[in-house]
Amino acid sequence: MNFIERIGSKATDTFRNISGFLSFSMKCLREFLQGSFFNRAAYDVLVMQIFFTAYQLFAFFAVLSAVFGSIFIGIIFQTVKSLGLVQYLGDIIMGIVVLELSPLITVVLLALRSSSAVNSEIAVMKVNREIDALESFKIDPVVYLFLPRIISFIISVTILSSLFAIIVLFSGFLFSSAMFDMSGNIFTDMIAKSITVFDIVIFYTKTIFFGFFISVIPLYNGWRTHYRFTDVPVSVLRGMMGVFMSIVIVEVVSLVARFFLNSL
Amino acid sequence: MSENALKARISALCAEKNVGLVSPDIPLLSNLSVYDNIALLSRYLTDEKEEQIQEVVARQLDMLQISDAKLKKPFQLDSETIFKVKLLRALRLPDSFTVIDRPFVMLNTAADISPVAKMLETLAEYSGEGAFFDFEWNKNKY
Repeated sequence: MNFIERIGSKATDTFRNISGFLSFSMKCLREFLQGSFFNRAAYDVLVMQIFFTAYQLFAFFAVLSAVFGSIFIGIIFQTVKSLGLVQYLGDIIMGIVVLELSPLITVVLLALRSSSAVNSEIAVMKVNREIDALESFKIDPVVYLFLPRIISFIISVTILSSLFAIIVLFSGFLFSSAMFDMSGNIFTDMIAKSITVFDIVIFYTKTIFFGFFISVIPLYNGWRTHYRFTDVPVSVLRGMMGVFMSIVIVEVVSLVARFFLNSL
Repeated sequence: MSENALKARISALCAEKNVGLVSPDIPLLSNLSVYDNIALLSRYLTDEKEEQIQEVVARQLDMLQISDAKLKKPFQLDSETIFKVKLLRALRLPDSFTVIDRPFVMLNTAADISPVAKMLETLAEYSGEGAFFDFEWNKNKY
C-alpha cells in the first residue's frame, strides 16, 4: 500500500468510525426520547448501575473531595493572600475550583473506574454472544443494556460533581475563617456574588455531556468488538482514548461557552 | 446437514416465527442469576408483576428439580442445569415456537433424547409447539 492509499484508508476508517458512533448515539437518543427504557428489566439495570457507579464510590469520593478540595483551596488562599487579591477570592474559588475542577476530577475518576469497566463488560458480552442472545429473544440491547448505563452515568457525574463542589465550598469556608478571620455570612455573600445563572447552567450542562460521552463511547467500542477475546483489550484501549478526547473537547467547549456568555 | 445449513434453517424459521431458541450458540447472561435469566423476558416483554413471575419461575425450577440453583450464576452450573435454564428461558417468550438446536452439543452425556423429552413432558402446561434441529448422524438418538 503506498502513502496516498494509506492516507485514504485511514481517512475512510476514521469516517466510518465517526459515522458509526454518531448513528449509535442517535439510536440511543431516539430510544431515550421514545421512553423505551421504561420497563422493569431496564429499570433494574439502571438501579444496579447507579449503585456501582455512584453509591459504591460515594464514601471514597467524599474523602477524596475533602482532601483534594482542601489542598486546592489551601493553595489558592495562600496565593491570594500573598498577592493581596482577597477581593477576587469568590471569583477564584467559583471559577477555578467549583466550576472547572469539580466536574473535571469527577469525570476523570469515573472514567478510570467505571467507563473502563463498562467497556470491557460489553466487549466480553459481545464476544460471549450474550448480546446475540438478547437480540434473539427480541430484547433490544440499546434499551436493555446501553440506555440505563448512559442515564446512570449522567446522574452519577451530576451528583458527584455537586458533592465535590459542596465539600470544596465548605473547606473554603473553614480556610477563610482560619486565614482571613472571615465570617460565614461574608463568605456566603462573596460566593453568591461571584456566580451567575450562566455558570450554573454551564456546570450542569457540562456534567450531562461528560456523563453522556464517558458512557456512550465505551459502550459503542464494547459493542463493535469482533467475536474474539483478543479484541477486548483493543476495544477498551480505543474506548478509553475516546473518553479522554471527549473530556478535553467538552472542557474546551465549556470554557469557550463560559467566556462567551459571561462577556455578553 | 452441516452446522451452517442448520443455522441457516433456524435463522429462516426465526424470521418467520416468534422463536424461543435453546441453542449452544445462545448463552445465558453471565452476570445474571438463574432466576434473573429466566425472568428477564417477562420483565422486558410483558407487564407481569414480579410476584407472578417469581411464582411461575419458582414452580418451573421446582418441576425440573433445580430450585437450589435459583440464585446461582451460569458459571456455577453443570451442563444439564444450563440446558434446563435455557429451556425455561425459551418458554418464557410469549406466544413462541420453541426450537431446540443441537441438544446433544449441550447435553453431551445424554445417550438419547429421553431426558429432554422428560423435561418437556414435565413442563407440558407451559410449553407449546416446538421442534428439534440436529445433525443427520444423531437421527437414531430420537
